Amino acid sequence: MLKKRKNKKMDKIKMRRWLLLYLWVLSLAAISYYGGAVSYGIFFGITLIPVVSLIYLMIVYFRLGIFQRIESRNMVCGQAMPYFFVLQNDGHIAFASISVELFSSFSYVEKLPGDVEYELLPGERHTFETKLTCRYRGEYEVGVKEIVMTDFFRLFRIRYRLPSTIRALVLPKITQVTKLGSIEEFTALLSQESMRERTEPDVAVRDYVPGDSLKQIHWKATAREQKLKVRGRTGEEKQGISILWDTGRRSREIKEYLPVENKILEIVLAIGFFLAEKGIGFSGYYRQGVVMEKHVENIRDFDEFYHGVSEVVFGRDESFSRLLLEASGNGIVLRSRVIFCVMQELNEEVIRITEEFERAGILTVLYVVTDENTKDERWQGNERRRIIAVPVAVQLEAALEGRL
Amino acid sequence: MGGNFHLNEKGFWRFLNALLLSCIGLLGGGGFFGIAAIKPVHMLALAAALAFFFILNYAKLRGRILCVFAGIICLLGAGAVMGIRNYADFIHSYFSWLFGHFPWQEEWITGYEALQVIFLAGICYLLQMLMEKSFWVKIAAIILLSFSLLFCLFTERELSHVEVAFILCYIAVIFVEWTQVNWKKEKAGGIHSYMLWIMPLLILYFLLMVLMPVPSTPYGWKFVRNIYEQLRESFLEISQHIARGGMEDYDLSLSGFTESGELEGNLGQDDREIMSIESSAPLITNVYLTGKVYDTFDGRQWLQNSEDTAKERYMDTAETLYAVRRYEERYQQDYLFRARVKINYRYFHTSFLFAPLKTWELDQEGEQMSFRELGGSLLFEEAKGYGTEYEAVFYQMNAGGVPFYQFLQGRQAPDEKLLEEILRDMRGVTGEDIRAEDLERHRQTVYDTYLKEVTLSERVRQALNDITADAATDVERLQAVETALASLRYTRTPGELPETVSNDSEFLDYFLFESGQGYCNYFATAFVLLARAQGLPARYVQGFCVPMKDSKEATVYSYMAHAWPEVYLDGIGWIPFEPTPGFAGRRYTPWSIKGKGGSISGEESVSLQWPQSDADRESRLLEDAMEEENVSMADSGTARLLRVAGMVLLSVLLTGLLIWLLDYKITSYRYRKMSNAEKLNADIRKIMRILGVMGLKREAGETLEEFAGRCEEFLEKKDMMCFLENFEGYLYGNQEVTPENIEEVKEKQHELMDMLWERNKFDFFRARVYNLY
Repeated sequence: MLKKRKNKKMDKIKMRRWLLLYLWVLSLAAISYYGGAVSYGIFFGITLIPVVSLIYLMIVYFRLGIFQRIESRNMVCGQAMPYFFVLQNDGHIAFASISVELFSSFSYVEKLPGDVEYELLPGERHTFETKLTCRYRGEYEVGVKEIVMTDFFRLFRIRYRLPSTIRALVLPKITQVTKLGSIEEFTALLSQESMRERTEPDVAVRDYVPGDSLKQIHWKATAREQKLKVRGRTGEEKQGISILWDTGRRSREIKEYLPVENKILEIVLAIGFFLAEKGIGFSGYYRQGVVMEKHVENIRDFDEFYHGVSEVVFGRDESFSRLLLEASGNGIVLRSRVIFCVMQELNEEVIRITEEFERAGILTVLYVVTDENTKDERWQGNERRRIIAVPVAVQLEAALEGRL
Repeated sequence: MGGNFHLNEKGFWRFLNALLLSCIGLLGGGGFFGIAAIKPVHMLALAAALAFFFILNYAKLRGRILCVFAGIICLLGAGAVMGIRNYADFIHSYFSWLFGHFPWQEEWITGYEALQVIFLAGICYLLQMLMEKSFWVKIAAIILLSFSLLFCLFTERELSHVEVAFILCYIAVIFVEWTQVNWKKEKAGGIHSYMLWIMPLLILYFLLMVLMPVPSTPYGWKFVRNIYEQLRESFLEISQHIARGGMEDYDLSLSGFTESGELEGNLGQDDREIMSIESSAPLITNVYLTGKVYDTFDGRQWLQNSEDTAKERYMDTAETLYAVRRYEERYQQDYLFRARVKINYRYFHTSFLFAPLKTWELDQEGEQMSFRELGGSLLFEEAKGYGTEYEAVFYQMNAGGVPFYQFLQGRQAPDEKLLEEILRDMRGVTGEDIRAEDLERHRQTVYDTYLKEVTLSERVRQALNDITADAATDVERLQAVETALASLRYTRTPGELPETVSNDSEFLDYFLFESGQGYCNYFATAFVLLARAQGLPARYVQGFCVPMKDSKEATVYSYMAHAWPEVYLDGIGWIPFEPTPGFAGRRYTPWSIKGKGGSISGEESVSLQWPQSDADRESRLLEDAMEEENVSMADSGTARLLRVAGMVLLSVLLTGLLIWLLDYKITSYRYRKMSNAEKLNADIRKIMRILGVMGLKREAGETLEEFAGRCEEFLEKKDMMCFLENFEGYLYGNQEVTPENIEEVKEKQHELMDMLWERNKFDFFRARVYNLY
């Protein structure tokens, strides 16, 4: 709708230009056949109109004062930040039409219609005190992007990018959820976990899982059953919760990858906050070239975890399957009772590895941030392995609480 | 509004508008109000009157009373200065329409005019108030003003420059006001505030208009014409260069004028525009422009062997002038008539400087011209082409008249004083230091160069004796030969000379007794040989014969190329003859001389015939046909132009087609050799062109993503532009382009073309043309 209005304005301007060109050609014909003040006067009268228009636009360019300020460059996603914006005529002529274009992909400004043209008389200023909200975590430009000025004959429209824009550093939002709908018996699990009964490791064995250390192999059991068996330290396995998240970048277009990455971090923070608030310790694993671990014992540790998550850098070389393999290879995650995986692509390799987790008795929840069709068979989970698709645009509380 | 603008904007705006209107009225309709010329006092009265109205209109009561009081004081003061009686008479005479007839007094004219200006200001102020009531009145006013301007334009009525500037400025003001009224925007103040603060730009507009020049003549588009002519010349140059294999004076071959001097072959048909000639007054004879002069004939071809670089042309003129003035100085103009012509080279390229015989002066752009002479021919220092212009002052000869031939046959005693006077004049004009001794040397050179021995066969000698039997003098003998030759048959296709013809004698034998036909070159050659055979120095001249009698300008076409003989008469100089059938009427156009009548032009002379030739009638018929042909050629300028234009257009189209085919092939070949990334680039460009045809162009500052979104919205098809993702991957990252990527782009391209076909067939074909390769 907005674009249509803009196109309509441009059409009017173009129509005027064509009319001027038409008259100019006629005036050329006039001076070709008639001499004297009338023919040349008309010719120069028409020729000078664009000249004066351009002189005018030049004056406006140099004498237009523009100022924008945001209360803090450090923002939290979704949090409205006071934003102050001024257009001022510092010249001695009227400015016929000034309008602004905002960075609108990742942020929005309240009460500032982008399609309004402002007229400014000498010394006049338009002040806008409003609020700016960023949609996604990251560092990007916000506020006014371009200035559009039109001359008083309405023949030319010049658009130029504001030389000094505001670059905001936006932290991800923490969504508070009342429950995690993905695990029905989560309460029971929590009660077990809260007891924190740390049993001594026994000699129970389990099947070998790729990534298990050779030192853990129970050779007698292996010889007896003719397949690799490792010592399972059940007590330790069942005492932890792990959150693993994808730090891979799947697109080159910021508009595509930023919302997805933002959603991943929001899910991680929401789950983490939920657990920490309830005093449940957990460990977060992600890749930054190597596997990184952040452990949270209770709510006091959460702030550090939050900043750690905010600073995560997504990269094209990072792969979630690799994280799963590496994390399970050194046996860290296999000690967990519950594993939360947050990713942006559910591929065969991820499914295969998480099936191993399932066989190892670990409750696995896979959150996949995607807009894909989830009717496929591979999206079917079971009691111990849940797969939950979280569309990018969906409200996170609803998705995590199972209200979708 | 912002700032501290406390002025009553509406009033001030009204004042400005009324001022503009008053200026328009005063400058344009001053005469109607009885104001002959605008003086500063009128402008002063205008400003004062408008200020008076403004104060009356907008000031508070006190101000209004003071203003009226000031007005009354002014009137009383004027009364006191003039005297009551005079003042009453002044008022009486001004309002004569009211008080009865009382003519305006000359001494009070300034006063009357001032009152008229005040009256005009009042009308304009009221008109402005009316216009403020309805915008349509303003629109009507600018329509009226525009039509007035157009009326003045088409009827070529004079308006002053400032008047036009005022009118256009007023139209611009109304236009801006109308724009502002209809502009949907967050407006700051009222229309009057805005217009007042835009006014500086409109004043600038007015000042710029006043500063612009207003020539009284239409614009000549000289630079455009020059570009056109240069292009045209270049095209012709290149085409002729290709056609003629790169000869230096390639255009000469098509100019009718040939540098080779060969007699062989038939004449081609060509009608190219070679030169234009202008004269300040109508000429009384036709103009013969001498190009190349030849001295030696080998039986088949004329050659220029003389390397004489003396200023022969000027010396010849001086000698003839000297002869005439000795013969009859008082009536010099009965024999030689001075004329000045401006010669402008058109579409040919040559190093020859074409000038009439008996040239007295040659100058270029008001200065003496730089040229050199070689064996009687005038040459530029380097070859010249289109646009070369020079002026020649020369003497037209009263050839063909009896008095002129009487003069040619007369012999006068030397007059050294007269000769010195003529040479001094010539030195003053040409800057050439020519002395009497030089003339003597020149005569000797002429005899040495142009009187080569000619061997005649017996039958030619016999015929020559027969036709000159009755002639008593050299001139009569020459006339007899001229007449006899003119009775032969003129043809443009005489065929090739037989191989057996290898010297002048054999040529004469063949031409006079076997062929009996030819064109000007043949006749001129025969005449020169026969003149030489009689002991008279003669030369063969090639140039152009331009029918320009009684006219001030002429265009020289290639078909006007001509060859003629010139005979050197001792003590008189070079005299041209015209043995070519049909050309005597052009060469001999004697002007009448009071008391000296008679013409002896070829047609009226006694007809002497070569023994076997009875083709006179046929020759005359041919001559008439040729005349008609030439006239029709001259008249068919438009058709010729159209033909040329058609050929040029066709050539351009064909060339364009060839270039396109070549480009298509090269581009296809290059595409096949491209890497995947380059192919992707090329295909994306094609898609962008298709989108451009649809009206979707990437705007400044728009990212590819934004552009893709806009396109998809416009096309109402999601994922239509998904290929841009790969393109971006390739552009901004290290993503490799696969054949699948290219295939995807091609598919989208086809889809887009299908959509275009459905939307607009014309655009579809336009896109096809754009993306043909």
